[in-house]
Amino acid sequence: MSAYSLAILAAGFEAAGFWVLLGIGPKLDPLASYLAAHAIASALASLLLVASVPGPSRRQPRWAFAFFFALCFFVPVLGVPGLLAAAFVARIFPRRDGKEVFSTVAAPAYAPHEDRSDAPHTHGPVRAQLTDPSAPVETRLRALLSIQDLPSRVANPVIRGMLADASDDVRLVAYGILDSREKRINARIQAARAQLEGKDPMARLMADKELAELYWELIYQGLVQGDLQKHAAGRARTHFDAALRIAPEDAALWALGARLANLDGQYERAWHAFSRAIEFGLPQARILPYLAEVAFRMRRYDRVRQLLGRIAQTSHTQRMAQVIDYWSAHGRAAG
Amino acid sequence: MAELRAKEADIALLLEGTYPYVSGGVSSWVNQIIRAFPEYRFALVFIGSQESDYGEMKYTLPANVVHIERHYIHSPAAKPRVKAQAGDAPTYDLVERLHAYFRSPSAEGEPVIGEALAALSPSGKLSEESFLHSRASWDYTTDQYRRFSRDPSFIDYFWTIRTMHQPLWLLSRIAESMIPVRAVHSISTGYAGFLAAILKWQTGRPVILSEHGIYTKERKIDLFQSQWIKDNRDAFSKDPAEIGYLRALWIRFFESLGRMCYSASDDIVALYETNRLRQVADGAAAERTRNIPNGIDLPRLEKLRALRPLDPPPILCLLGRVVPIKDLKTFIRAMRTVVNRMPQAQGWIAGPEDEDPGYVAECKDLVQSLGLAESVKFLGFQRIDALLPRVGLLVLSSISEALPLVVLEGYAAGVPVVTTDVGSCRQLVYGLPGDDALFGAAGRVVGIADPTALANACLELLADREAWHAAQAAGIRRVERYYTQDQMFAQYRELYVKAMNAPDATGVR
Repeated sequence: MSAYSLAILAAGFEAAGFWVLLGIGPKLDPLASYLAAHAIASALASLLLVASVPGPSRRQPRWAFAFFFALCFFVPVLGVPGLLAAAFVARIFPRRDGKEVFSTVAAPAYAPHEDRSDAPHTHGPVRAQLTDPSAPVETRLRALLSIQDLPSRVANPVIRGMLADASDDVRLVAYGILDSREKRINARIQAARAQLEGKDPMARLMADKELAELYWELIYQGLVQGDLQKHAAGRARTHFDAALRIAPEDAALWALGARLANLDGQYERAWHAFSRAIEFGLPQARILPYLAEVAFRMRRYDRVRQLLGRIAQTSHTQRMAQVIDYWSAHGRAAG
Repeated sequence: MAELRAKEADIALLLEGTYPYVSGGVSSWVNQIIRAFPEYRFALVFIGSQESDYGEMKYTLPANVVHIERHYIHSPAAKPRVKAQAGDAPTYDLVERLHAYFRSPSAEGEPVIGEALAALSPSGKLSEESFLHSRASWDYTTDQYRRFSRDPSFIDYFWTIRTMHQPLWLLSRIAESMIPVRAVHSISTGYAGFLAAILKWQTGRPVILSEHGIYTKERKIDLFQSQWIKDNRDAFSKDPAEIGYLRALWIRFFESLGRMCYSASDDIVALYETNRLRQVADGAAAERTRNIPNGIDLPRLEKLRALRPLDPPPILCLLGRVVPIKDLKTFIRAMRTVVNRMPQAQGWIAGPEDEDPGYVAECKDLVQSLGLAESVKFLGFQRIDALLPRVGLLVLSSISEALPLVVLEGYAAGVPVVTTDVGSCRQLVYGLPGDDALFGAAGRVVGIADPTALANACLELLADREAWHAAQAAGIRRVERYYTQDQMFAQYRELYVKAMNAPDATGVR
């Protein structure tokens, strides 16, 4: 039974009680009839209150009912109407200060975001998709967006190649990717340059070192070409020299200088610098492959084999393993 | 700012982010068109992002502009009062059909656009209140999210949908309060194009669409890279070859605005063939499209040729606003190579620098860090009449262009160009197949963002006197034959006359 019908019934019985009591209604024993109707009305009003009023009445409904019934039955005239009014107020203005009462919601439906199988199936390796001029523009665009997640050094030359794509969209997205990468490094270069102005020699050392690394990063990530690469290499070397004067035993700095020398084709210098890097504490496992490369460029193949032999014991990637295999097999065959 | 108000006008120009508050190629073109038709009264409807982005007018309005109104998509508008409502269920069925059409457009599905625009009008049942606060709208949104969203965050989905659609009601109100005009001419698709579509629906007057760049494409490139759109997929659910769903939603939103504009336009004008084909691919009916290339004021510019020295001065000039799309950095980098090989060479950058101060600073830093302070000069805005006779080559290093007026102006004044391979630049330099190509190359075209190639092309032309003069002659002949403003005005006159005399369209309200 709804709250409203309960309230109407209670009010009805109460009115009927008065009706009989005042002698307007049928000829019955007025007091007994009144009391009977009043009792029914009180019971209904109490039921309604137990349901409407939050708090203790919920936990002990019987006692609450008894309390409300007593209130209705023993307060003449005002009891039932008063409590009905109270129930009405309680319904309209639910309690604000107390705890929110939990309400029931439907069980959540399964939302299959990961389940969607309309995702396009790829058509072969990404590089093939990118360089195939007959592939639809959408495919090339998707391939381009997906190689963004590869390391910059690997992805950038491929993305640079896309600057000459036949489609405007592909070209512009490729440009946007490269431009934002270059911007990030250039912003750091500007910030580090500001540090150079300071008087603190330690801060200047850090700035020189960072600048040398950042200019090298532009080259390493393939973001600068031609004259600009030469320019970046020149700047990197200037800052490297400045930093080395202050910190001649910085292993990481020596490794950077060695890579710059390698870029310039000054292999003797590169060899020397890499050796210093190991001497000042860089792990051999990191430097040995570079040394082997320098030795290869110097055409000292015996050294290559020897160096790669030393790498063999340390951890390395699969690609490295193939190189080592080749050289050690070659060594056995030759020697 | 003086307000110009009129009771009625002949042609309403719908201008999104351009004339008269932004300078540049499109704005110059609008200025040209208004001045070419003094017999028509123009009403300008400027649509911008927010008021603070624009300063004073960049142009003096001609006398035949009788009315101007400005509206801002992202201005904080008065929000409708929150009032719970059920919402009209059949309207949301219509919305569902509309979105199904946008997902896979077909000719049979197209009439749904008209129905939807009618529902969106202030007297229709798809009111802003209903969109924001009705139960039916909520049910529709949650249902679409469950069925289509690949992004797990409902909150991001919900707010994306709200933010994206809200400008549509602003545009609907603009259309309702618009003064009566005899024809509508929109200068882009996007929000302005959508306004054109509503106006077509409400007034039945013809709509002409002129697209310089392709709005949808530019938005798309922008959206591919914008950082503010979230992608909430984690490493396991992410397919790297697929763009985030919210990003895809934004792209489809602008594609759909474009589609509605194409559907409402009686004549769709592109500047050159590649763009026309792009319009057709994006939903324009091929028989309503045409090409009208830009044209320049030949009599004024050809006088400048007499002021030139006989041999080309070693001055390379980039004429344009200092903004990222012009990719000035590539020009500056190319100057490093040019100066290495030709130390007396100068690079001039002539154009207003007020639009993107951050980019201007980056460019100036680059000049410093490449040690080019002596060779590369920022001249600010310059009058071309004084500038063009003094330069040896015009350089355009832009990553995107349509049919750049500066190239035509350079040709008319006797200056060859070296440009990147964007927009119609290849067509302008080498000519279209046929008679046009026989004029020869009026300069060189190189790939974008390739400073070395740009520098080599410039050096080749500056160092070889004969090649330079051949390019100059080809440019002059090409611009005189194909790109004068008289030819352009004649074609627009035809379109305007047809539109002004057209009866009200039937089949609309």
